[in-house]
Amino acid sequence: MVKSSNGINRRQFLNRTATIAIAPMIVRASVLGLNGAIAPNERIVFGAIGVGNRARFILPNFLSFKEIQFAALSDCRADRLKSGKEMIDNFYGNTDCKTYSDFRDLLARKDIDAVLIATGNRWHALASIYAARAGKDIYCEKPVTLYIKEGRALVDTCKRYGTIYQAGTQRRSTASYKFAVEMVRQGKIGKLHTVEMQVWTGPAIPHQQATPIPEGWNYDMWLGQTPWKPFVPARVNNWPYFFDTGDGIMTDMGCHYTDQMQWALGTDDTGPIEFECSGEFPDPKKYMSDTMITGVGKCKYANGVVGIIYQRRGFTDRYIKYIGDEGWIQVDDETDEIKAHPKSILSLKSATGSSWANASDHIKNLLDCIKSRKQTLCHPEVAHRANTICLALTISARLGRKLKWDPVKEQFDDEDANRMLYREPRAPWKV
Amino acid sequence: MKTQTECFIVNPEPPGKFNVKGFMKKLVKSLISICVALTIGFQAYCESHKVETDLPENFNQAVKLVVSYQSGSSMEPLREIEAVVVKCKGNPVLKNKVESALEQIIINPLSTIEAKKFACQQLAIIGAVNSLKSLGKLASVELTSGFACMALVNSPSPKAASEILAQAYRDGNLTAKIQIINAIGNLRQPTSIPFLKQILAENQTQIIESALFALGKIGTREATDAILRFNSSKPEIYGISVADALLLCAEKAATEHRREEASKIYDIIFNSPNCPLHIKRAAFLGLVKTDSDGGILRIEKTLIDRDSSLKPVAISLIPTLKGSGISRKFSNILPSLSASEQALLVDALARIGDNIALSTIQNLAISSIPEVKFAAITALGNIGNEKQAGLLLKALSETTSPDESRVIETALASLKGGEKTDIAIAGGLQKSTPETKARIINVLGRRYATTTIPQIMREAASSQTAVSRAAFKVLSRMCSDRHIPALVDGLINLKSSQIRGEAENAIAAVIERSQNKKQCESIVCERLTNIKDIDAKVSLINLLPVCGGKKAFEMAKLAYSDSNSNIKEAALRAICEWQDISAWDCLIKIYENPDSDSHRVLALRGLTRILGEENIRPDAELVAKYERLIKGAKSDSDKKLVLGALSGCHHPEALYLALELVKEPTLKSEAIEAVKKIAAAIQNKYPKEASEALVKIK
Repeated sequence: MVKSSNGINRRQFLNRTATIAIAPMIVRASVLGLNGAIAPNERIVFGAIGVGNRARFILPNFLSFKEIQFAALSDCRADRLKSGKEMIDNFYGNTDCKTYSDFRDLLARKDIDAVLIATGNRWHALASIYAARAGKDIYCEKPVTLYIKEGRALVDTCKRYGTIYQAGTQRRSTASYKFAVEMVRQGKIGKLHTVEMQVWTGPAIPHQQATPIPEGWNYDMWLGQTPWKPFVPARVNNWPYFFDTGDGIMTDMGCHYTDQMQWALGTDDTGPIEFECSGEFPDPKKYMSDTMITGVGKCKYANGVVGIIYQRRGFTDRYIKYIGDEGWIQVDDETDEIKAHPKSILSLKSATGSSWANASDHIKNLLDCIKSRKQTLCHPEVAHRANTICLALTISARLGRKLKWDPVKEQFDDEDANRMLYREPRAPWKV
Repeated sequence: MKTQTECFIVNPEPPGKFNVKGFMKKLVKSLISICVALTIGFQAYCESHKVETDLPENFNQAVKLVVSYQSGSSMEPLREIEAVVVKCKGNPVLKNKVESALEQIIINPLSTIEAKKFACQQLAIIGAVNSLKSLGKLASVELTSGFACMALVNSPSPKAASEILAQAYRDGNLTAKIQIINAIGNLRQPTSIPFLKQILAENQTQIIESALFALGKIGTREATDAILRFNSSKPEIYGISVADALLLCAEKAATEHRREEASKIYDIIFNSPNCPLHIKRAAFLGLVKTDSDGGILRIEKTLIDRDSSLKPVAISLIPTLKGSGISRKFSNILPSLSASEQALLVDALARIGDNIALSTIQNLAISSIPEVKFAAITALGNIGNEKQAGLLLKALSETTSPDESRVIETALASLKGGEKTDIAIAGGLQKSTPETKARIINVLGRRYATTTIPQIMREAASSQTAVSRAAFKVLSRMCSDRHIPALVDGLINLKSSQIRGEAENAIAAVIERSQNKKQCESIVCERLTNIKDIDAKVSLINLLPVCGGKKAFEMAKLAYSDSNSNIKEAALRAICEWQDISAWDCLIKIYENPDSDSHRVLALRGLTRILGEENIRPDAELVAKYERLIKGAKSDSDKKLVLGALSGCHHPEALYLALELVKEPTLKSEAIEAVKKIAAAIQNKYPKEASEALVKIK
């Protein structure tokens, strides 16, 4: 019965840490009794585009659904294709999974209904757009785009083809986050005036010279739409921290929290009207990475609510905190713990659900929507608008000035910033 | 009398004798004066606002260094140029200078590819105007084509950029050509249509596909005609590309209020033979948007049609339809649909949520088709209120299916209507079976129905384990301070002994949240003094550490001297779980003079936990307490337990104590680990002590 100083008893604490620490693992379909448990016409055939670390983390969540059948994989690295195939084949107990080094060949397959896109960020929107044009429904990892106009193109393309699309901002399906948003919406913390978000300190990657492209890599495909540059191992392995291929931690992780902020504010189809961001960039003499190490980004909504993203401290210190004139509520991302003032808010929480590490509820929402053709929780407009906040902040940081934003026209009050809304893709890719 | 202003504007020339030559002279003079004034004005503005129009001293040097830039070398010159680029806003003089310098980089034959990439990216930010020709040359080369187009597409002169690109097209290879066509498409200039039409006559598939897409992006009537003409003369392999392009054209027409034109294009796509489903779906969505009735008739027709492929998407659009009678119209169609389509339509009707929709859904909540029934129950939960509670409660009492039960419970939990609905649902407790009662209680918990706490309290006293268990679980969340006396009485009078632990946990959770722990302590102690039942006493003793406080601690100590072994053991556990160091004296006595070895071990666990929590205030006094525990230890496992806590005590004395234990062979490895941990933690504050200790364990 004894409670620890933070109000959790030791047994609960152990249970909780166990839940967080255990990474999803793949158990054979036959063990789960999934083989043949569903009629073929009920089955949704999936292909995976990009089978790196993130795909491997989330695949067990997908495979736990009996209606999902993974039939094909695509990656520009031969080693990943091989091990990815082994993983899928091992799950189904056969050798049926087909592999493709060019995802367009996977998209050309008529039997594939949907795709899981877990590539590097530079590919997220473009692969989604190609998938939508090929008539596939989509689960795509975040951040959903690399630049704002690409986000708008993603929204338009999915609308055009009636594509069902779920962005991998799975905290919308996570009990703790849903609860926090619900409390804000019910006015339990009074009138919301500030949303504080924290992501971790970004790294600085030292200079490294170009090397020959390793065997088994389709580097041209790896680069995708981004401007050509030579193969530099440290740059390729740390792509999130380079402007051409990622947008740094502020966008990579920040979009999870801006998504929550937008949800709480009910601004899913619009956004803030002002952005200001500054931060510390790597020393160009020593480092080749060019995205922020630490920084503070502020955005302001038309109703006066301010969102602040801090990029600082360690990986485990990330959180979102809603502050109102009568209290606050915070979700700690690492532990999934909710803190609040007044504490009485916490008693309103019902039985705990899965943490963000389990995306099953989010995937379930996608599957339901594929059948009903309804919008998912994180449809393209939602994802694009949340991502826009992060991208606009990093534009502000790059230009070193405050920017005003028209969320209807999706234009800044600044010509240079407007030109940073778009990056012409390298041929043959087009948005 | 004329005013001064009127005098000023009076033409000195007599009427009818307008002197063209003189006027032109004056006009030119005036224009020159304006230009001079503007230039002087801008310079004055720059001076007064400290706008820097000169390039920084190091700029030219930075440009020189950038020319030879490649991965692996310093990026400092790149950042120096970027810093000037961001200052160009509103400063045309500086912008021209920077653009010129960047152009020098891209035309310099010695420039590396990475230097050219950098220069183009900067031009893309400031907006290339004077460097278009140089960029055009770069666009025709495969490796640099992408960078060049990045800058060209962002040019403030899109027409000029398109022309430059069209000229560059001739010299490019396949990849560069595709890049150029894509860029032309993104510049969206109708003047590019003749050029793109020419390209359609070429014979390379990728080029033709890109040109079709570019025409689609331009999307004017002329572009549409070009695509349609191409479609009538070319093989079917371009079918998808043509459809994609036409969809873009139709979208543009619809946006520009050319509805008929858009509708015509969508119609062509929709009716084209062998049209893949996703293209057909896209055309269908477009047609619904452009239909004059908002798509009502088309959706209705689709649902009646034999082809079921578009029915789900048609149903998903129903809630967006405007006009009266929508619910009735589609409710009438519902019986003709398949089970899964009916389920989708039920959901769509629920999203409309009017009375007709509600009535249709209520009728389907008793459907014999499970899929439809489940959908209707879920829908009722989403749109219903207290009036639907009875129907759902009846369904809950009748169902034997766990799946159906879950769906009904969720629906009941979702019903709107606040307290009225809560009361209506709690009304179901009276006549239900124990199993249903437990489910209803769960629902009330999910609704956080605090007005029904008295009813749930009554159920907590039930002799039915499932009911009592469910009630305590829910009460643990919903109750507050004022409910504690009743909850404690409920625990004392518990009829089902199987759930005693759960009931204790529930009350503990309420006490834990309480803002008035003193009152909780008082209630629990008062009841503990007055009751005789052993089990109830044990339960209350278990609650003492959660309450905390001196009185509660005294009660725990008193209970430890009780002759009943159950009470004694509960009391010891309570003392062991005490939340602060006030339990130290009592526990150390038990540890050093135990009634039994099991009591000694329990006391030791409690003591190490307390010390572990005290580690946040490490001092010599705390280490002395650890030492006392070590001295009283009867086995290696006792000492290992103490060592585990000691390793978190960041103080030099703790380090010395751990070092002492290194000497004991059976504890050596654990003691070394402890030394390492403590040394690492105190290294900054006590570097000498830490390093000496680490040397000793080497």
